[in-house]
Amino acid sequence: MSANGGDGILLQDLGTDHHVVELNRVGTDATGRVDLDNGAAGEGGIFLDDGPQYCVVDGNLVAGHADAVPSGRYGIRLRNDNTMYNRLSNNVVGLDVDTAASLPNHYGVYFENCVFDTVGPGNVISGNTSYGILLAGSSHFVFGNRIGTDSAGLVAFGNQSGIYIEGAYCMIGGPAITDGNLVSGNDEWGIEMHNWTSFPSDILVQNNVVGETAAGGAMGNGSGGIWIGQDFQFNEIGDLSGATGNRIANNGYTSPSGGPGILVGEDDWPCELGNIIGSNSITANAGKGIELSLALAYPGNEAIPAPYVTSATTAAAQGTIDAAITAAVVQVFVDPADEGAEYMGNASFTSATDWEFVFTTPPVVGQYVTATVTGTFGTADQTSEFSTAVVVSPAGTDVAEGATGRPERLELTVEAPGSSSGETTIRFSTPVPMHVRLHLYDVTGRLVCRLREGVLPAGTTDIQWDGRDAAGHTVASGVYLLEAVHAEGRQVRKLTLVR
Amino acid sequence: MRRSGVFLVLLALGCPDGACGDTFVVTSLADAGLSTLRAHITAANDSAGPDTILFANTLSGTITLTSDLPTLSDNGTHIWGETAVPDDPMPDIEIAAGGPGMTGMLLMGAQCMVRGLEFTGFDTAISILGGQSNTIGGAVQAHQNIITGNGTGILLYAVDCEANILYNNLVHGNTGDGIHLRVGAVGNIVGGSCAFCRNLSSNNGGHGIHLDATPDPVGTIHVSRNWIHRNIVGMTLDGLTGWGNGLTGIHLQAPGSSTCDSNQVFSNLVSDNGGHGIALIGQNVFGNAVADCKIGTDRPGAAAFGNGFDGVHLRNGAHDNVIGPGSLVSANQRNGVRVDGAGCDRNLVVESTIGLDLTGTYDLGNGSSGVYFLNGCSEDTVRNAW
Repeated sequence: MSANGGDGILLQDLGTDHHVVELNRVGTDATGRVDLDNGAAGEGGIFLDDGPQYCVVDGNLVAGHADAVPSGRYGIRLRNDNTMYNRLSNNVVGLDVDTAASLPNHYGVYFENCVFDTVGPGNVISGNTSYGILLAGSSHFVFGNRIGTDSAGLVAFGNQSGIYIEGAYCMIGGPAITDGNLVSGNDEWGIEMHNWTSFPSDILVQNNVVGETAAGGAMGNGSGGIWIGQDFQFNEIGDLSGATGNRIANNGYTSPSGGPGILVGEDDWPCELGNIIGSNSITANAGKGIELSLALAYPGNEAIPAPYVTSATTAAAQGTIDAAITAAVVQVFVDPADEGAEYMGNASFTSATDWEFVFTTPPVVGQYVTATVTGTFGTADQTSEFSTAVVVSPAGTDVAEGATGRPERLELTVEAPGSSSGETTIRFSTPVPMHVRLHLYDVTGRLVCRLREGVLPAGTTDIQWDGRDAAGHTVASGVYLLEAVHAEGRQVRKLTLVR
Repeated sequence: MRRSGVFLVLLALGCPDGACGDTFVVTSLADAGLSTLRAHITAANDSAGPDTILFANTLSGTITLTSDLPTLSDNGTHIWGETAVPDDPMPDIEIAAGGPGMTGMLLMGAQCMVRGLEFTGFDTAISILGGQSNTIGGAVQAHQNIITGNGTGILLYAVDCEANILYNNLVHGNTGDGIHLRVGAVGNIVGGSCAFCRNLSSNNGGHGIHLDATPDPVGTIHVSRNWIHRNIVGMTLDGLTGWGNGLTGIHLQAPGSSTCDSNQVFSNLVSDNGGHGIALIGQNVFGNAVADCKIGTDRPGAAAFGNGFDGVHLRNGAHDNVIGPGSLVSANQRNGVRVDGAGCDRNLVVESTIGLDLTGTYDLGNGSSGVYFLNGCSEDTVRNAW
């Protein structure tokens, strides 16, 4: 079905229903390896236009329709409101018949103002010069596909971006593990969302692998993993129950500044908000695991502050959240660095702002604990970036006096500051002499002063802070963070100063 | 001398079809009178059982009729035109209409045969009206009929017009349809797999081959189970040069209660026609199969001779038909296959090459889409095409 002047296969008009288009080669020679594309400008491989419904497009090879101008051509295109309930499955779109070489379309799959159509399972949509899938319509389902790789999911044949969404109410992946798409090896983003003007957008992204091979090796998307961009609101990447998290790793390495696993924000308007990011495995991305575009005038998710992890051992982690966040859920992760490779569970609150999480599977000493908070902040329920990472210490490093009179475990505690002077006692206990760097920061991360740097003796040492910064100025009331860095890791404690 | 020549022919042929019975030899090109074709048909009709009408082996020329020949009404009458100048594989006897509105040969019996003749100028050159198991043409080269310059070339029509065979007829240059099967035509064979069994139907003003279930006073009867096999429709005999019919190459239609169903259209070359290559039109066109045809190319499947409209066109509710497998549908000026309108349901387009050459290597694209479903058709399938 190739070299024709119009589309390879065109299904058109309301009532043109229940057709099956299967096992065809569209846009190639009979071997499926040489480009003999259909159509001229704006035409392509398979086109369902103006109303076909309940059609099945399955097992086709659709390739070679690569012209970008004057209007982009496509492998498979569905257009207009009444084109609905169609299913695209098991097609190869943009590669040759062996999925061993690129034979690109411009757009791989292009949905335009249609609704309730399904892409999946089993499509390989790779190597296309523009987006693998462009969803410029609503209420579509994309599941069980390989987007940016060969059919085995082991070799990269990147699209420009894997999935580009300009619509609403779409589900990328699904509640079952097998629903997830493999979205890897694309030149720019794995999944990106932009230019939706009818809020909310309500995109669900579940159980996808973004940036790995099917065997678990690294195959990142160049610019980043997932971008919730202009005007996209109230989307969910994973969930808060641990059921549908995505794996988002190894992305962002062609971005000059290092692209993130997930980026929220684009517009200098208060638009990209209300996005919930939960239960995902996010790690080894070039930039942050989750980035809320904090430099923008209107950052993503209204710059909901990340939580603090104040301690982390193999037994438990503790921390705090900003008091302005309500109805909060803190999710705890373990990572080799500062993201969230393994979702460990949701923390319990010991007060309105303090949380604790007891590990059922102990993390390895030397790994890092991070956390996110999802809660009501500003105008919406939304999720923060990852917290600062805290290294995991051995369980039992809390202070307890032993028979020798020396503490059995490391502990950092803060006595209540003096109410008027701001004089505060900081107590550091260690069973052995230890080199310690003790610094105080404000909540923005700015260094306030260096309290101590050097070897402290075994036992308990009290260190006084006079409520002044390094320049000798009295600091304002508020929350400050005390960080102790030593041979066994790093501990952070919150210090609230009230004058 | 003529008599001895006739005997030689008879010895050579040996009545291979066992239809000799009484033998009559045409020795005159006159319209009527002693030893004319007219006289011998009358005699054969009067002689019960098989009879054979031969032509003197030196006879060559035109028999111009001033009125229709007698109907072949007795079963088993054979007319073997190739016996005239037997060394010449081409027909040497031309039967020409001497006026308008005439039929060249009308068959109403069974097991009759007409071959090795040329028909020109008739309203209908050869008509089988309700007859069965008749043969027009034959399987060797010399059996060919040439049917040109008529209105309709060959017509099969009416109740019990069944199991007739059309081999090796060269039907071209007629103003109407080349070969026309009307209601009642059931189980007939048009073409075949032997070297000379194919018919050529090209350069006619109407359709190349027309399977026409248009309702008729003869009753609600059908055009069913016919085989249209290995014919050349719209091209020259070598299959290399365009010689299109004015309308559709092979046209199946059923606009009313009669059905055009279960016909097999396979291994035909259908190219260069002014309309569609093959059309299936009407809600009672169903269960037909189009397979292994070349539609829009030359015989090798390498050069473009596109039909003027779609390669295969289904409309007005044609349903449950199969297009393919093994068909080549390329270089047509509009779509490769178009399925148009409500009721055009459950058709299957399968295992065909649509837009490429026969090797699947080179561009022979149709002008518009490869396959086009539109206007409310449903449950159709395109499978395994490239």
